[in-house]
Amino acid sequence: MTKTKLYLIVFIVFPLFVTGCWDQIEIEDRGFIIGVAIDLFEGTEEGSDDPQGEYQYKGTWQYVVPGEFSQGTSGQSGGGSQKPYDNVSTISDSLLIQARNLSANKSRPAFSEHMQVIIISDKLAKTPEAFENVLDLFIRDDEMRRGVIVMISEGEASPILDMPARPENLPALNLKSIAENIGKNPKIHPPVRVGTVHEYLIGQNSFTIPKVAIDGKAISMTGAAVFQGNNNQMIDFISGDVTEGLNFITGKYKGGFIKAKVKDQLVVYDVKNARSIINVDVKNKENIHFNIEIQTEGIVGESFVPLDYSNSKMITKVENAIEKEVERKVLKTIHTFQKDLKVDSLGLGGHLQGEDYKTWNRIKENWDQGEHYFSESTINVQVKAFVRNSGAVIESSDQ
Amino acid sequence: MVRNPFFKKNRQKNKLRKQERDDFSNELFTEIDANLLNIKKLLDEPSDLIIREFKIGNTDHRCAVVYLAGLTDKMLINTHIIKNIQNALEESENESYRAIDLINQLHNKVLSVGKVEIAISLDKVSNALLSGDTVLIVNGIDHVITIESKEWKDRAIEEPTSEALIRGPRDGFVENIQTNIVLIRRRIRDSNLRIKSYQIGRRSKKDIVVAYIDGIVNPQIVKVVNQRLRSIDLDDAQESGFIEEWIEDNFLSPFPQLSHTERPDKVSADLMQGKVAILLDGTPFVLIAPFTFGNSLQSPEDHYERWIVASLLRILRYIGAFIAVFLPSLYIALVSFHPGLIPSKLAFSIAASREGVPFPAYMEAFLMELTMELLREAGIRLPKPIGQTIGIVGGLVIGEAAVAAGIVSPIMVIIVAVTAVSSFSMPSYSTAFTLRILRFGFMGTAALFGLYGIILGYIMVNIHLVNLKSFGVPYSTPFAPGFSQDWKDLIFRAPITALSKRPEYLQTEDTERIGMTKGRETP
Repeated sequence: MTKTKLYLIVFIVFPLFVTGCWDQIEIEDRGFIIGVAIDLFEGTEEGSDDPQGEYQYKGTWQYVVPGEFSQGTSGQSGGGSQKPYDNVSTISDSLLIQARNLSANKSRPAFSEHMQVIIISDKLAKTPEAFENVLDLFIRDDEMRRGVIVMISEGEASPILDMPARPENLPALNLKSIAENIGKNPKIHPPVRVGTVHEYLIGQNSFTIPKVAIDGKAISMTGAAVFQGNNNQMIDFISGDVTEGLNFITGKYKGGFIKAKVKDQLVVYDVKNARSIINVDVKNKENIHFNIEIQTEGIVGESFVPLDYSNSKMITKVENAIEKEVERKVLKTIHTFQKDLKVDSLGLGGHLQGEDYKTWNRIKENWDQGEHYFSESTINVQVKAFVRNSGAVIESSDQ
Repeated sequence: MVRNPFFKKNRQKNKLRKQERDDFSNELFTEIDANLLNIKKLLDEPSDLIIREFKIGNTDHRCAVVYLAGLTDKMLINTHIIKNIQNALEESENESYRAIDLINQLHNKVLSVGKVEIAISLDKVSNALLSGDTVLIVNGIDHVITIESKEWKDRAIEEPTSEALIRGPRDGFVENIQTNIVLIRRRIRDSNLRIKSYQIGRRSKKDIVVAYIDGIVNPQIVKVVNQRLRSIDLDDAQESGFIEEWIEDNFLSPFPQLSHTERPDKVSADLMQGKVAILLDGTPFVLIAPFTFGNSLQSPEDHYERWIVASLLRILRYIGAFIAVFLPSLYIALVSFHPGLIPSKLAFSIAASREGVPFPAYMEAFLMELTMELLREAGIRLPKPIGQTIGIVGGLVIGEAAVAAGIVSPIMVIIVAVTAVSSFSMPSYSTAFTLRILRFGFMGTAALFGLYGIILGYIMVNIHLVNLKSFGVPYSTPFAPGFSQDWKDLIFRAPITALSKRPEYLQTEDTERIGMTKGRETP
């Protein structure tokens, strides 16, 4: 090897070592933030000459205490004497400044790539422009993930991050797990990621975001918050039942149950699968028709009346009862959105846009605001329910 | 300059000695006494040199049988050489035998031994003596007869310890090259099996044999092998490793470019594929050329087990190779640079387990890997009965104690253990070595740049791999350059019936492995 070659290698290789473990922070030196709750704070920051924002926010940032967390999961310490998390609240008009302020309180620099939930209080969501301003950091920052789930709390947001969370032990993780239970309970709104919220904020369509509330001593996640699309401001909460209908319409229904009465007795239909087909009829520009066809598939989960399910007529009878029940729920939801809230969070506007773009362009300014064409439009619902099997019971006494 | 008198004196002496050796004549004389004297002088009258002088039959011609005790078969010398010569030519009363006639008579009628040759120089004589042949010197003629009579104590054929298999032949090569050739010949009864022998070692003069099957092997490869073997100029090659290092394409590469094996079945399988085997006397390790990356993860057992099992084992080995190279570096990269890529709960428990560990992840990993390598090295050196104990003591006690003392985290112990187990799963010992070297390299790049560094290192290794060649065959075939046919026996092992062709990357003369006329008969 010639000397030149040797020098070349030295000059190429040695600068690599000069960088010296660039960006290296050991995992135990990171402060894992797994959730944040944001409330509106009444009052102003005093004694500062800096430019002030319109509102002050109180952010409650949840840190993981890894040592306590892993003890809790292994169960060695029998529950652990200390909480596996640490909530730190700071007040500022900027979320980024809040996050930086944390470093003044906590030894470990905040690391938010493992953030699971953002909880925003309804009061904040109803304040003009506050909702999008608050979420800006979570959309803009490169350390924030797009998969963080956004929720709206009924009442103050920060106590939700302090609710007991067994066996997850971390309230933020607990919330995320509950949000994913949509396949079991249809009254839960499907989780909404920050990335999706970004889409909502840019678009004009109204949208819904899951609601979280403290129900006595437990967390309840049924229901959702409805947002007006053009100003991204929250209007109101909808109940769990309305959310169920909403899930049917949007096709996000993952599974659940329908109670139906057959022969005056209760039959519980376990929905395994549901889908919706929405057709738009724009022949009459003044009165737009929507046809929503909902198909469900499922099995008989519970039957309090002994029926002969081997008889196809009996199956049809049960199916009809279920269809009526689903129809009732869906119609109730449509009524709520069309007449009470007067917002189209059902996504019907999007279907219209796809079907007849010209008409949509003409009326989109007055779709669920101004003239409220949405509330005037006719929405028909057809439901087809399929009972795929009757469970493990075949024999029955009654015909 | 040299202060030590030892060096000074020796230097002068060595000069003198060399002079003396150069003066030494290489000729054979007609006088038997001169020849014997020269032989004695050449070998410096060793105690195991036996010189037996007697007369041929009832003639007056003097002759001598010379051999080295220990290297030779005494029974053969006594009964087939000495006895025969003493009893020879008895009935003939004619005394006008000329020396040259005598030699012919002995050669044709008397010596009842297979391999008999005429030697005309002292070099040849000493060579024959030292390799265990018997030399017959007859008075009055300036050449001698060498008679093959080699016999020395050999290790019995045993199961190869470095390449144990569950299923497969149990015999392994030994130190005797003749036995090794026999082991190959017994497996391949093909008249085209070529065994070409050389002598290697300026002083040790060891036999080295190149074996291949003419008509299968690509002549280009044989040519290159022969060329490189002829270029060897060593004083001695104690092991085939000397040969390997001399003839390999790139001595700077961490990747082995020849495979070595103790298994005759592996050698015969490779010969059948169109490769070349190089056998060296005195070592059970046979070299096989060329060698590619794909070969390094193949075990003979892949073809002995059924194809489904073999395919799964192959995949397992590829995974094992990946783990053996990358796991510690991935740990360093993820823990020190990208904790966002670890699933949340795992990240929290890793953080918890590293709570209180004073070292950064790369120091922790280097420490544990170093300990592991030390244990492995110690395990080889230690006497067998203690070796296992040390393994347990080292593995369990040191690991456990290190965790308890808070020097390393429990996750690190798992990672080191999994890595070690994976690297033991490699079928070839030299490949396992390569992976170990690469592992440390990747740990370094990961410590500097995280995943970015691992990718950089990976690209560099790949560039090296596609540049590397083994006897003209690209090292990365059949991945690149790609040969779709050869993928049948690469990551998966297709059923034997589907492996109808010899490896395309070897460019063999005979490409068909399976006769095309008859297929497999299904009931």
